Amino acid sequence: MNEEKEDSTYEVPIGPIHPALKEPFLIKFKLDGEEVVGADPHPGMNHRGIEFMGMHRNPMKVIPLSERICGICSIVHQHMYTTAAEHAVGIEPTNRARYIRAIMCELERIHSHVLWAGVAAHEIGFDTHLHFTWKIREEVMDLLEYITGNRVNYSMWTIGGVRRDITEDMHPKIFETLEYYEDLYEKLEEIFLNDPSIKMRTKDIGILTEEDALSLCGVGPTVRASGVKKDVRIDQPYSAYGDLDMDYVVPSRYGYEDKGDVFSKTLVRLKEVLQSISIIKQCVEKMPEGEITSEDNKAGLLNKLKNMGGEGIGRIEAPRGEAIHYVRLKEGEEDIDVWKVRASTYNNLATYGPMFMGEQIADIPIIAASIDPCIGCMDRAEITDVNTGETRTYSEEELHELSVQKTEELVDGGIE
Amino acid sequence: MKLSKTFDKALWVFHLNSGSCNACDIEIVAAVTPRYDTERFGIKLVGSPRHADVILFTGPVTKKMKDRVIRVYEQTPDPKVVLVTGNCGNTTGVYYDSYAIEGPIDEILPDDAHIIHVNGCPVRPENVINGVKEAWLHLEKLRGDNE
Amino acid sequence: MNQNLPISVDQIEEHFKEELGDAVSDIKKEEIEKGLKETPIKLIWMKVERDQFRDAVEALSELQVPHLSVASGSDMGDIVELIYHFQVNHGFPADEISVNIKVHLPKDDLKIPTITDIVPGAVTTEREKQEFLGVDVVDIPDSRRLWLDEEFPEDRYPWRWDEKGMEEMARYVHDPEEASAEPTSERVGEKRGGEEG
Repeated sequence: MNEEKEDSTYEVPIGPIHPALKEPFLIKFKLDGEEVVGADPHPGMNHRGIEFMGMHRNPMKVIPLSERICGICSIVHQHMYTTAAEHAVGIEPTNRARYIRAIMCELERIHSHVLWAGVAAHEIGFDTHLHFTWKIREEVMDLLEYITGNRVNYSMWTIGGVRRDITEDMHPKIFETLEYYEDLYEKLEEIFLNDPSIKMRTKDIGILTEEDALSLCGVGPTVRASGVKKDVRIDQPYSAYGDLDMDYVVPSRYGYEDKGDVFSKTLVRLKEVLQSISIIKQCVEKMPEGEITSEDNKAGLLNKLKNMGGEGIGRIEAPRGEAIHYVRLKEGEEDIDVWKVRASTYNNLATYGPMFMGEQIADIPIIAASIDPCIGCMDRAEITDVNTGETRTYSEEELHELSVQKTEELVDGGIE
Repeated sequence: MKLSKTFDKALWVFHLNSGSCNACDIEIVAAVTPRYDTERFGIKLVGSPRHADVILFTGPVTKKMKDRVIRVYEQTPDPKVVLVTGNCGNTTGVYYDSYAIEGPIDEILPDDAHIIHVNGCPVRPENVINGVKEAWLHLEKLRGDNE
Repeated sequence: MNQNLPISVDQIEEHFKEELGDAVSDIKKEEIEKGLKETPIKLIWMKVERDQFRDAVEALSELQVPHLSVASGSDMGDIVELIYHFQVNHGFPADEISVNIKVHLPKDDLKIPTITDIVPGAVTTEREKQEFLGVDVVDIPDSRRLWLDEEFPEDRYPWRWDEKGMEEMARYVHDPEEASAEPTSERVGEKRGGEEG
């Protein structure tokens, strides 16, 4: 970097508080005028020491704790933790439980992706779309409540299976909800993929090349949008996914370019909603009869976990991408010996670097949202002039306003 | 309890995640979107604590967020009510035994803070609305006291 | 890049033995079956000497751009064990293999070379190991703290079980009598003691 350029760079911390839904999170941006020349994420506002807490509890007590790692992907962490514990001591869940687990995972994927679409629309100033997507999201929340008894945090998982059955009398309600989404799907696609003004704000913005996606170990829709075929459900099928018919969702499969911009990420997420619907249908059809858990005796199970050592891995495809838990139990010890939790956003943090490079301040919100960060947060931006040391603070509203303004300007500029 | 006629403006709420798991947060957003639609009552999420009547905290307070929680509390103009949602915000819930948790919000904010507890893990949107209503009644009382 | 993908677990074992010789030991191959069709999940565990660890990662990257899921770590008394969870064969349905490379570091010399030049995505997890286990990652491009706050003591590491661990820092304990928690104020003490005893 030459001297002139260095003089004109600014640093912009964004975060860590946001009024809408996301967790506290801070990103420091280096700016050269309008252009972003560096992004440095600072997580940790939400660090609760989950692994430390888990390592001081017995394996059964960790099940509800694992569910509360994240409220949007509560199923994901429970699933990984129980799978890892099962692997460690060699317990096999029943096949019926595997199918129920897969159905629940896909229902969660639908609600997570629909939620994301709303947030993305909000970031570029389309609040009607935010309200529309949140309205249709309520349908799947109703179904989840119908099956599990709660809207969020379902307490469905246990080591060896699940705690609630999906019986035949629940099928009509499940199909009804799936049909609702199928009917609406065209409209969703029309809004997010064909609307000219949304296209202008999402195309060619926040590009992640296939090369970067691979070398930075990115996961989930974030890298699939760049054409990288990574999907744990297909690569290393867990639960019931090995029995099902599915393929990698990459833009080129639908006749689009594997570009890795925000548009491709939107496309992948929307197509995955469709994929989830098909998976749930297959699961309901193929679900075998039988017990829902292989470990009925909870006291016996705890005893077993206490007396058997071993290490295990639980690795699944969360709505945001691959996530992994590692559990080690020590023979004769009550508490878990080691518990490592790795969520999807953890790996995707590194992809922020190339994605923000060369973009404008007004595009920061939508790019930050494009990886669907579980800890994404656009609250206030502080701009420090390196020369004078002056600090200017953008509030979240101002930043949002900038983003909305850009949309308006583009629309005024004329859509063909 | 009857709502006082002196109530002259709709409630504006500032939402702050002090270390929660996101579950309460999405339920709060669900409360302002069409199904529950609190905006029809004039209850609205705002982007700055300086505009707010009610601060809505979710989650236990983590070490990194402690100072920010206090700062946001101080920035909010009086009279104000604090709404703590979720079991972990009220008691730290499942997050006991950790080095990174400062404690429930009760123990972080000054003793004279007006705190209303909303329970649930996570809170249901209906309960959030009920909590804001309780805050409303409480604010009415505070205004009355000041007059 | 190897054109013969997907490769099998046995081929991976052979490849590592060829490249690293005696430095690789304790090889354990596992297959867990899932679902009605019994599609197996394939895993391979191995222990690699620290001096050859970088060679092992390089050997892995000869096969395919390695996907590092995460590195987990634990305090095992005299040693700290790091496990790097890699995945190969991604992009091939039902063929992906988890390659878990264990490295043992003695407590008096907690150092491991960085692999960020081979796997750029490893920087987050390497930074995490530095702050949570006190492992010194040599030549790490970015050694700042990631999750813990600035006031957190420099010589304490949450995942350690020895004197550098932090049992006594936990405040919200389940049983106040058993743990040596020191509440910061009287008010806190009264309230907690009554409620959670």
